[in-house]
Amino acid sequence: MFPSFLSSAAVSVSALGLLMVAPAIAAGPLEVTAHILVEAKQRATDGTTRVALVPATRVVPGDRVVFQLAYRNTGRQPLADIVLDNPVPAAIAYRAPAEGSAAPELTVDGRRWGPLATLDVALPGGGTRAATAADVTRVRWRLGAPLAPGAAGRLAFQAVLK
Amino acid sequence: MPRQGVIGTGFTALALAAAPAAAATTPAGTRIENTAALSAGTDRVASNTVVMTVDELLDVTVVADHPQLAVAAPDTVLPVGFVVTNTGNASAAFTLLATADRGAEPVAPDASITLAPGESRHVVVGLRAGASGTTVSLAATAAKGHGAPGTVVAGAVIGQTGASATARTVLVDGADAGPRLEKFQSVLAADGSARPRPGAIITYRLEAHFTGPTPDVAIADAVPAGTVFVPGSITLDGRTLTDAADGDAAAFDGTTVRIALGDVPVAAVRTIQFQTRIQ
Repeated sequence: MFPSFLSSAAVSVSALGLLMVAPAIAAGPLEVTAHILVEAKQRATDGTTRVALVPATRVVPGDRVVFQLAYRNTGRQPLADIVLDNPVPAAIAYRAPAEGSAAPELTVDGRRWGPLATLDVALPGGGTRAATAADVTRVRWRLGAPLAPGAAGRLAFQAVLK
Repeated sequence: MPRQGVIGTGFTALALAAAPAAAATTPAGTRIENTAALSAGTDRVASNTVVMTVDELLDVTVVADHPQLAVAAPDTVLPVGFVVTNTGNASAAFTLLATADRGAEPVAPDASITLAPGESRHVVVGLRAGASGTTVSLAATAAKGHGAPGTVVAGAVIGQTGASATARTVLVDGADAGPRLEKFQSVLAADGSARPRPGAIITYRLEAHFTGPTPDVAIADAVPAGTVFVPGSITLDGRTLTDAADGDAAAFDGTTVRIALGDVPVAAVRTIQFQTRIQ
């Protein structure tokens, strides 16, 4: 059972990533597994090219990658106030929510969170400028409803390797 | 101080900078780790850590110092400059190949150079017997291989440039060679005469002549000692520009009038005017 905001597309591509990662660390009733997938162009036999998400085994600057989090309530009680928090590595520039995923809240300083348009960056000489996607240092999702026993979901964002 | 001398000392420079260095890319071999956290109330759990390693990216650019150069005198070697930049993310060797048409002989530079990521090298090709219309080319190709972007050669990934790049310089007759900058001045005193006396206004006109596409053009002209800049007097092709370093092409920084023309796409003449007052 998945929360309603997940598209079937996001779930199906993640199966590729699941093969490549270590089992999630389980502590109590909560479980979360991270994957990094890379957009790869694949040429089909009919001559068309499609973009597929494959596990990120070979990445170079400019590659588009997808960070994906799979979470699950393995306990017998509903879990409320669930927050998924993912730092954006220094070599990675945030781009957008992944297709089919809810949009995360963003921060550029770890203090203020919100959509990009509400954030700004302090300048060395004083003053501020509007934040860009490349300034994002962390993303987080706060689930609005308690997670039922056995329920699971996936959230993801797109990024590019600097 | 003799006023005539003062008026003639304006310093003018036409700077043709090479393309700016590429933004820093993540070096090959960098490990990128990602660990997410999940919390429910006060319970907190970390995810597994996913690691990916950045592979080697092969990319190169070549930029000619001048799109056009004047033909040299017979029996001389004409230096034709290029800048080769490693825009990949690892140190890489590049094979250089200089060619020229119409019977001209390029004197090959080093056959191969090794560049650190982001490093540029100025490479000079000597040219004998070049005539008007001769094209001189320098090609740089990654020694590991080249090909379609995204292909993998010798464990490295080919980047957007195909790991091979070429730039060209065309020789033109001396009179056609560009760009060149001409400077004119006129003086208007309060009495209507052209006498350079205190209070008289000097109008400078700079004509920048471009004979072909010219990248990243900046013109700087220092205001001569003994004169003061007349605020608001800068015009470009007859249009008034502000003195502040703002959105338009012109700025006066207190000593020097600076005009950033950017990339001039085709042969053109751009005219800049500004005024100073004799103290």
